[in-house]
Amino acid sequence: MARLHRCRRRLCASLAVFWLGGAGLLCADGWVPAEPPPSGAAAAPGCAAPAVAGAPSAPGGDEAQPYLRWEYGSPSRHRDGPAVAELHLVASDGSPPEDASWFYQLLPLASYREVLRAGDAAVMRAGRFEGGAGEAEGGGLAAGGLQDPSIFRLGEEGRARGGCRLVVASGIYAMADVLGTALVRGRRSYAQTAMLLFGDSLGGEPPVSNSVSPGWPSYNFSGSGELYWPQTGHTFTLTAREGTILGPVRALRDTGPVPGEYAGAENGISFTPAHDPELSAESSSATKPVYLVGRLPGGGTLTYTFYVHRSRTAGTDLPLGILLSAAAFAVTGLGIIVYRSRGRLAREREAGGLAA
Amino acid sequence: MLLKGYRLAIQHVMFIVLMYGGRFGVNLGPAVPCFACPYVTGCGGYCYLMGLQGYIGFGISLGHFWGFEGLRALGYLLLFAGLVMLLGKAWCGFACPFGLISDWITLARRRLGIPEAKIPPAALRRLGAVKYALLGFCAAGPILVNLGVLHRDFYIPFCQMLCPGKPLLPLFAGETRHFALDLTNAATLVITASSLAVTGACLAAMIARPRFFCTFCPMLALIHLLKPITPLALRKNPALCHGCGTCQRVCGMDVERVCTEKASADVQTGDCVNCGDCVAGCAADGALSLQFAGRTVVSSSAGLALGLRKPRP
Repeated sequence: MARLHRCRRRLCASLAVFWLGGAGLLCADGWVPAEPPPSGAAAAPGCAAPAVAGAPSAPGGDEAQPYLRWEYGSPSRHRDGPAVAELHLVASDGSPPEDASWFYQLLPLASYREVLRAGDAAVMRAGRFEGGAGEAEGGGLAAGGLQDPSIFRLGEEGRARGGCRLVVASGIYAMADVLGTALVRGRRSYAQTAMLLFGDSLGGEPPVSNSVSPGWPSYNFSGSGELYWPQTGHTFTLTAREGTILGPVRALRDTGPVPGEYAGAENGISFTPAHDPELSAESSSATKPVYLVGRLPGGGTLTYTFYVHRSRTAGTDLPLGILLSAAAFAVTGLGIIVYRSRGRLAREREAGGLAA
Repeated sequence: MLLKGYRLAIQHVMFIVLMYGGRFGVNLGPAVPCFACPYVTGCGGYCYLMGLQGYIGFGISLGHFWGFEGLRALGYLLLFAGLVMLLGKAWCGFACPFGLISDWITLARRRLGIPEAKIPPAALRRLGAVKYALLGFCAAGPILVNLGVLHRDFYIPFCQMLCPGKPLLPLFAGETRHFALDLTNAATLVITASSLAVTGACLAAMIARPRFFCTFCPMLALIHLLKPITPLALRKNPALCHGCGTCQRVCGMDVERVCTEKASADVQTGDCVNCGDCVAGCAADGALSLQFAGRTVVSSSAGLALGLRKPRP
């Protein structure tokens, strides 16, 4: 019996060493986060100058031309529920935009894709920043920031940081398609973005009023993943809307070109932002801006702003996860077997002792 | 046998409702008192633990506590309390999808003749306290994230790191992605490694013990804290008890008190999941009963206990 017990102990010890050693090897392999896919600079085939229409030109002179863009301010929420978004219309070189005006539409998120396909708009608002920095026309937040029962609340604020500030509020989950235009260094430029608002309030029906689209140059923007959560590694496609003639498009940030892969699309471009180690180290809600800047005839620019998150799936390893789970299962099962064996042995010893 | 049969049927119906009901427009809300896992696409309701962590964590800032968000969180808490008042711990014994998976594993173990692993009562009592610690962790984790002590990826710590339902339940909707190890950064690696290790260990332990995870479940702890307002209760008439110990033997949670209590009628301990197995197994007429607001719903009887006298392997 003692010999059997010794053999069993050796077997258990061997198995434990085997599993722990195996687990250690796995951890050594996977303990340091895997290197993300190479950034655009290193991924030579993806980010070399692609020979497709609409592809970015060689780095150099074009990047010196300032462009107009929307920047997102800090999101907030009114106490009674609506989500409030702040957008700044700024020039990339910090010069004050002149003769600025804006136009946007708010669409319930659930119907956003259908409405885009149909080319209609549920609600439109238009306005103008007087002198590039003044108070704008249109509806505003009620005094004290309290909401009236309507779901879509629109508001504008005056100058901020040398640019123009637009405040949009929504009481339901909605997407705000925003277009702005201004003179940048004497050239008429346009900026566009689609901002998600997670409003949640006890509101009423959305307003039905419509106004005419200004017919400015604009993009259609789509992505390979969920538009409400753009991620690195997803492919985003910009195509010019009817009447917009588009030149080369490039992805820029304040720090320079955004690493990624470009591909051609009919009167547009596809761009896949490369995985970013800085973003990967942050939480899943952290973002970095991407400005897709297109050159218009006449020298102005048309810029699309979106903010990209880290990829949710690029760093995942399913086989390794299953292996880890199986290892935990095996170790626990072994522990239970050893625990029960000890109990049985103790009972047998007791019975043997009593018999003696 | 009748009670067990009804319970099994109800468990399966609730499994379908909670796991797939969302695909048919069913939505029991974000305050369901059992593991209705939000990670399952198309689920019929959301487990309240996720909402609780979310509201304590990133859902409410102090400035908005007295506004719409605070009212909403309070509303969901009242909804949770209302649902608990409706069924009490029967959410655990009759409705929890993860509980049903545990019961399936136990049934398979018995058919295979694998004996159950016994834990001494003293150790079991100590282990039972862990569920309250996990409940505290559900509250403390998101606060630590808000204070910047923990990486923001830990924003729903219990669900992401410790709940075995998160990888297992989505399997029944064809989703395997929660079994993946996330190597994006150190925080995601720790989170997913913890989740997978706990899941693997729980699976092994569930084979050896019925309802193993219920001993540690913070939802059970939360429901037990609301015991004073819960009309559904397990009651004992000590005068009618024979002391045969069948109730404890058939109890999946090994609750000792249901057998040893000789004075009080209240035998519903923190570990009891109101499955009714003890009532079904008790051969003494009227000794044990499930009561709702003082009215007997089902009571033990010699006839009801027929067929449950066979000793468990």
